[in-house]
Amino acid sequence: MAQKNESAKSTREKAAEARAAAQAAERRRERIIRIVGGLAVLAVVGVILAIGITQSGKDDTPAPSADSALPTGITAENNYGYQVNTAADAPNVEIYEDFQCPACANLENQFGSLIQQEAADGNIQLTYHPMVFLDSNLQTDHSLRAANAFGCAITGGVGEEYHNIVYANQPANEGDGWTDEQLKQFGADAGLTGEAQTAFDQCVADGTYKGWAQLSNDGAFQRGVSGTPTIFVDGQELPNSAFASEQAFKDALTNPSQ
Amino acid sequence: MSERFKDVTGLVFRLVLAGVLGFAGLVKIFEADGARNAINAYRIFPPEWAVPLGWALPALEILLAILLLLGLFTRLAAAATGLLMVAFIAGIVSVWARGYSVDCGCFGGGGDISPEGVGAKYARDIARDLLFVGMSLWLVMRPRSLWSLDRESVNRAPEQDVYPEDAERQV
Repeated sequence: MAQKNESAKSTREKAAEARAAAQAAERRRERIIRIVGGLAVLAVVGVILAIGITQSGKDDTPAPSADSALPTGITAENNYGYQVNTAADAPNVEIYEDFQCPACANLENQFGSLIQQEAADGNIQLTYHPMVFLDSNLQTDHSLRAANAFGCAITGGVGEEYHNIVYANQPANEGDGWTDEQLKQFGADAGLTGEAQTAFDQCVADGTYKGWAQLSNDGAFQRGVSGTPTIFVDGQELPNSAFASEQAFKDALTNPSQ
Repeated sequence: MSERFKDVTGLVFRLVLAGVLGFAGLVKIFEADGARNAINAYRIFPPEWAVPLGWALPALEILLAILLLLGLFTRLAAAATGLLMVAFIAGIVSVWARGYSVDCGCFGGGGDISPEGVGAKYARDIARDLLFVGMSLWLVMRPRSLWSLDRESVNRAPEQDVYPEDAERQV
């Protein structure tokens, strides 16, 4: 009887030992899976990230750099913006727009001529900063090509007119954009003829100022501009209330302190 | 609920979260401009953070997606996913409360949008993220699931008996 008990006990002990050994083996196997698996997952994420970063570098053709060609009169000092006029002591109005953005076309339609009139009268300093971020949202290159053509027109001396014509001809459907032929025709519509027109057409075809368009866009991001249109007056972003009426808008531009 | 049913539920939640995070991450990593713009639109971080965050966020999302897909470090990955979703909800509540109209940029896109009907969009985004928080919580509380690389013992305290019935069987 006693012996039987003892032997039963030792069977239990053996079972416990076997179980402990199995558990230890299981834990080892698990540790290996976690270490190897974890490292493999990290490697995969690293590769995907590297591909993403390389791809994004390829999108910017040509890569924006300090060497990118700039339209006549445009410098890095002004954040690569197109300065329409320089009226001393007048409020500094800076407009960030994407040629493909419907809200920008609405703004131009509603207040565009008012803005340019105030600039012409010397009541404000006016700078346009083209942006091209809608291209990545819409999977197009229309913003970039239009901004490039805008740069060509600035060099041709008809930047303001060209800007207005592109907005007036914005397609009803966001993302439809313009063909290169249309962008060239807008140059003729803006008043370019002869040699100036030939140079303009070449500039549109070559994408001479695409790098500049990217620089202007990057400058906008660095400033925290996240949507278009965005208007700064003496460095302050215009609130929505400024767009309520023509008078409110005019006051916001010309009397920013109030 | 039978244990088997719970295991399958865990698997379904893992796959749903992995799919959502993986898709969101890949879109952001290959549309880096859009991701930066979306981050800026929230006006929470200084603009110069947009570039590093624009890479870090999708990298984290893809990391969590793969872990959940494989069922590796399930509890940890689910906890991180839940916290990420809570952070997304906080971001949306924050822009909503401050009166901005932005696209959440959850799956690419992003940036300012027309204020029309934006409240309903925010509510929908928050509801969706809450659903994901719920799935993450389930996996935090019960990380065991079907077809997972995690072994049984991962999901239990070490001193706990892993297979209480095995002792009897081995005898």
